[in-house]
Order: sequence, then C-alpha cells, then structure tokens
Amino acid sequence: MRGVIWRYELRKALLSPVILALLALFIAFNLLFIAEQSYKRQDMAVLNEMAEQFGVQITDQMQDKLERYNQAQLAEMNELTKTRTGEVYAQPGDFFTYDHFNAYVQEQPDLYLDAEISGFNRMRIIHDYAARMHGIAEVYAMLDTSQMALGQIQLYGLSGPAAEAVTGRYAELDGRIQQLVASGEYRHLFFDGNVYGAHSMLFKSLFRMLLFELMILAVLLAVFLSKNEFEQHTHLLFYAAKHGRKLQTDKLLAALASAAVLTTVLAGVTLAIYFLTFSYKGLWQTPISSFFTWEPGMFFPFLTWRNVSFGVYFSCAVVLMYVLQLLFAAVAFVLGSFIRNSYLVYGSFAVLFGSLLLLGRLVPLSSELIFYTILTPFHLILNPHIWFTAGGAFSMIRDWEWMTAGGWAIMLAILSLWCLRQFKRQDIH
Amino acid sequence: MAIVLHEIRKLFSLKMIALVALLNVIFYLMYIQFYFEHFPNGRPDKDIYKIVIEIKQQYGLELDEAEFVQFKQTFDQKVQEAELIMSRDSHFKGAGISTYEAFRTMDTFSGNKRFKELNHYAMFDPGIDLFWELQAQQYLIERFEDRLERAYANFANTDVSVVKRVDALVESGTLNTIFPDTIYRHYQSIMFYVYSISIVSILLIVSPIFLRDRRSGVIHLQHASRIGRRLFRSKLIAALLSAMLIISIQLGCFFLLYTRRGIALFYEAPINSAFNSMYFWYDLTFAQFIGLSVGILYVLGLITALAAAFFSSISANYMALVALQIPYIYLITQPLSGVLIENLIVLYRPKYAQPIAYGLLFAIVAALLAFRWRRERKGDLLL
Repeated sequence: MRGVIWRYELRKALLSPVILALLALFIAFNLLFIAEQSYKRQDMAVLNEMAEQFGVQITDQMQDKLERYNQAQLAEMNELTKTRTGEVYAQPGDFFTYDHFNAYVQEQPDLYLDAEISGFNRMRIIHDYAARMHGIAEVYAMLDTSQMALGQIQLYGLSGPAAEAVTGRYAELDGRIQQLVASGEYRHLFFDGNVYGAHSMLFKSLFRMLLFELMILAVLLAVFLSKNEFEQHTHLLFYAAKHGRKLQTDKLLAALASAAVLTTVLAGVTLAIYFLTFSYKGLWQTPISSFFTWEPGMFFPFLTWRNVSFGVYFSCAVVLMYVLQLLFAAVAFVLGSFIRNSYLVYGSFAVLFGSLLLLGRLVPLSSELIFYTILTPFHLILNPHIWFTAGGAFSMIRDWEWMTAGGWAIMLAILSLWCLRQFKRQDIH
Repeated sequence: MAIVLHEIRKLFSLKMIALVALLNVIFYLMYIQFYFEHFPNGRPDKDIYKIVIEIKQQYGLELDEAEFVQFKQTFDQKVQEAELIMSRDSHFKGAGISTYEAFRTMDTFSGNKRFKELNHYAMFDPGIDLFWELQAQQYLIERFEDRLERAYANFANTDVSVVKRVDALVESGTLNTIFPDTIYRHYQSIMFYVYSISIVSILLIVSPIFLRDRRSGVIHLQHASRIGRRLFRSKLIAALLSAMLIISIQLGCFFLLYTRRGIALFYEAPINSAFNSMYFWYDLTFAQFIGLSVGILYVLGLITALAAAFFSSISANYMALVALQIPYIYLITQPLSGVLIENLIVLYRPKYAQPIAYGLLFAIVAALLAFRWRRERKGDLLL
C-alpha cells in the first residue's frame, strides 16, 4: 500500500501544471543565458583542438612543439598576406588591431575569405595561449599569503582570535601553494579565464541560477505536499483512514523524491545544452587549479584544496546540488509542520533564508565563531564557484561544503522524524 | 465602504504584518542600511562631496564666471599651501617631488619604488586628506570647464530631439549649477531597494485577497449575499487602498531616515547640473525629482496591487500563487527596473519611456482583470 500512495503523491506533485509551467519557464530562462554566452563558443573551441594536438599538460617539450607550430603557421599567414596586401605580421594579433582590421577587412570585404580570417583568428588565439604560458611559474613564486591574510583581516575588520585564525589558514594555504608548484599541477591548459571566464560562467552564473530555481521548486512542492490535505479539506478523511497519519511520511518521501527528479530534469537539460554549446572535449582531466582559471579581479587562479580535475569537480558540484535541494525540501517540510497556513510557510522560508544570512552580524568580529556562521545551505548556494576552493577569509575552512551539507542533513533528518512523530499524536481540526 | 474596510482588515492579519515587517527589517539590514551608514561612500566621493558643500556655502547653488574664477584661485592657493608642506616633508624630498603637478603626474607604475611609497603615504595614510581634496577640487574644476562640450559629446550620435534638449540645457544656464553626482547616485541606488521591497511587501499582503475566501468556502456565502459578485470590485478597491497604506508607511520610514543625511542643502538644486553625471528630459529640482519618484512608486504600488489581485483570483492554491509572484518580482526588479525606476527621465532613454512602460504595464494588468471580472460575473463557482 505504501508504495502506491507514495507514487500517487509524487505524481500529484510533478504533474501539477504550476510546477510544469515553472519548469518550462526556468528551462527557457537558462537556455536564454546560454544563448547569450554562446558567442564565445567558436573561440573557446580552439582550445579543444590544441588539447588534442599538443596535450593539456604544459611541458618544455610541448611549448617547443607549440612554438614551432606557431612559427610555421605565421609564415604561412605572412605568405598569404604578402601576396594580397604586401603586409607581413610579427604576430597574428596585429592583424586584428582596430585600425588595421578596419582598413583591410571592414573596408575591403572581398580581400580575404571568411575562412581565411577565421584561420587568422584561430592562430591569434593559439598565440595568446602560448604567450600566457611564459612565466607562469613566477606568478606563483610572487604570491604572498601573509600579505593576503592581512588584506582579508583589514577588509572584514577582523581582530583577536578571528584574525589569528585567518593568518593560520593562510599559512596552510601557503603549504598548498608550495605543493601545487612542486607538483606542477597548475601547468595545464584550460579556457583562458581572463578572456572567457569559463569557470564563473558555468559554476557561478549557471549553477547559481540552477540552485535558486531548484530551491524555489523544491520548497513550493514540499509545502504543497505537506499541506495539501488541509487545503483541500480532505484531511479529516485521509488522516482517519487505515493508512492514516503515515501518509505524512509518504509525503515527505515524495517531496524529497520530487526535488531529486526536478533537479535531474532541470539541471540535466540545462547542463546538457551547456556542454553541447561549449565543448569540454579533452579538458575533463585538467585540474581546476590550472593557471588558466585565473579570472579578472582574483589574487590567484581558482585553487582547490586537493588535486581535482574538472570532471571530478563538476561531479562533486552536481552531487552537492542534489544534496542541497533535498535539504531545502526538508527545511520547508519541517517549517510546514510548525506553521498551519501554507502561505505563511513560504514567507517564513524567506525569513529564515534572510536571517541566517545575517547571522554573522550578531557575532563580534574578534570571535572565531564568525567563520562558523556561514555553515548553512543558504550561504552555499550564493557562491557555487568557490566550492571546494581556497581563498577569502570566509571560505578557508577545508571541506566546509560537505560539513555543512552533512551536518544539516543529520539535523534535518532528526527534526523531520520528530515532526512526523509529533504529527501522529497531534489533534487535527 | 464598510465591506472594503473589512476586506482591508482581513488582509492585515497580525501574522502577515509580522511576517512582512520581519522581511522588511531583513531587507533593510541586508541592502539599505549600508547606504545610510556609508554616505558619501569612500574616496574620492567623500572629498568631492565635501568640496561641493563648500561651494554651496560660499557661492550658492549656481557658479557664475566671476565666482568660478575665484574658485580656481582658491585651488591655486591650496596648491601653494600644499607645496609648502611638501617642501618640508621628508617623504616628498626623498622622492624628489617638489611641485603638486609633479606629484599628480608621477608614474606610480613605473617601477620606481619611491614613487609608489610616496603615493601610498600621501593618499592612504590616515590623517592626510589634503591630496584627495586637491584632486577632488581639480576634478570639479575640470568638470565645470568642459560642462558644455561634455553635454554635446555625450549625445553626439543621437537623434534631433535629444540634441535640441541639450541645446535647451546649455541655453537655460542650468549647467552652471552644482548638484553633485554623489547624491544622485546614492538616491538612485537606495530608491531601487525601496522600490523592490515595497513591491514584495504589497504582493505578499494583497495576494491572499481572493484565494483565502475561495479556499475557506466563504465565497459561496458571499456570492449568495446581497452584494453578490460585485464584491469582486470592492475587493479590488480594498487591494488598492492596502497598497497605498503599505507604500505610505514604507516611504515614511525611508524619508525619516533619508532626511537625516543632511541632504536638505541641495533640495532646491536643479538636477541638470555641471557636476551631475546624468542629463534629464525635464528641468526639475532635486526636491521635485524626489516627488516624481515617490509618485511613480505609488503608481507601481497600485499596479502591483492589481497584479496581486489578478494572481489571487486565478490561483487554485497558495503554491500557484507563489509561483506567479516569483516571476513577477523577478521581472520588475531585474530586467525592467532600469526603465521603471533607476533611470527616470534620463536623456539616454526616449522621452516617454516611463509613461509608455507604466502605461503598458497598467494596460496589461487592467485587461487581465477585466477579463477576469467578465468570467467572475458569469462563471460557475464549482472550481
């Protein structure tokens, strides 16, 4: 019997027109975002060819090979341009300087074929990668973690034990950087963060959109399921039946299952389209701590605490996304056990979200406790791009992502069980 | 009327008031408080603002040619004073900098460590405001000098009506006034948050208006009573009045805090000025501009109340209601916020951008409600 009811609840949730409409809206919204970004795809795809031809690991041998290839290509290009315009170039980028491009391409559209121009552009991109590879070792040698720690302490106005903790953690980070330099983990090719910002595009923009959309869906559904009988005035009948109040357990399971199903559908469609648009072929093994994940405004490239490849990082992020959606569904369910009116449950979820974000303000800036106020799923969904990475005073607790998810999962499991038990004994009007 | 009052009372239940008040407090702490605590925010804004206040106190809201010459003279005096200090200061001597011009143009990125240290000492050592203020004053002098050319340069490639408007601005002499950019941008940012939270509050409070009665079955009694289906219209009036009430309370709180920032100095200053970063279609003073934005917030509040009523009247349950509210909040606060509140009457947008946007928004909501009212008059109750 249980299996049947559980499945009916799930069906009721997933086939509700409201949820389907929202799901369609969210998918359309995400696709719009990907379409907006898709102008980068041609340029980004050059790296896939490079990865295939030269490998992703940056070694002297690879750099030599790349250099020879570039010289050969440049000679070919110069031969072509010499016959057309008499110009030769020291590097392919010179072709694309504003005035030059205007004079030879915009004003004389018949001079070069489109294929030739895109060939030049491809060479320019490969040249840029080759140029960026030079001297990347020095960048890491120049990183001064104690200075960064001071900067962070000043930025947040920390003092006392809190400041000491930051200093200590940055010392730990220094060890990690030494290890990174020694192992050569950073010497891998990835989409140039300065130009394409690929890490942020995927893990900041797209993942954050997904996380928020899924949170909305999970909460809507969890509250809907747990309150539905009361809203339909069928509670007196249903909870008096043989299956009775066990129904509420089925509803919790259905809420969790529907959160998982919705995550699969929405994230599945969105990410599938993303990876069809932007090919990561040959790059799944590249470590996230590659030099090339360095994006504007950052002190150093994204740096994971362990050597994590893009593929593993992505899988971890997806797993964490699932866990977070289950947590949100459970939070909403638990709130629903305390508050009668479902409209107020939605409102109080928003209040809970906001007040937990503000929790850190209650703790003095000298207390180490301040770093633990961010261990909530609400903080987690704000900045998915820094998951599993080091840097910044407030993301220095190693594995805080899993600690938060695990801790909240245990807490919510206990709370849910308690609420279900309470429900069995409480009066129903 | 009694019915309308009852409906309003039903909307403002104690729990709803508590919920919305809490949300307002959280929103204030998260977004708005910052702007009140940090005004003007950082450098060089702080220094520019200070100098503009000095101008206001010395010359009034408008600078004529003679006053401007005098203002430039005070700058030269200050430079001389600064150079006197520089000649005594070991940091400057060490770097071999003796004139203000040399200090200003020295290349701190050239790799000369002395320059870098000197720059750090003069600009970022707490207690030395002098060089920031000099820089701010020089900036203001430059802004004032090229105020007319800048106005044209900003709109070089736009259509005739805009250029005509720039002509009018130049001729009227409003560009000789001193309303600072700092206040405009501050007001603009803060207004966006006030706008966002008032929309959320109105939506939350008004939204249950039809749904609650339908869910509880009271609607059967209501339709059978003497007022019958016309209750729909009474409820709409109740929704509109509630929105007015909510927004009045919020704006009251906001201006209570805002007027304490000492901005009263500039209430009478025209917003088209030499030091503002925007140009506007209409010649308003800052006080009038505030009035305009308040009026616009009321209009949007009323539209939102109607939208909430519509959502309420078509939702089968609270999940559907919230599912409708979320896209509405997103739409108003994200893609539409620029035209609806942030860039009021700016010259960058078409002259009738706001009337058209609000007109369209109102027309859509009104049409949906009219459609709903026709259904309501004839519709079956067995939903």
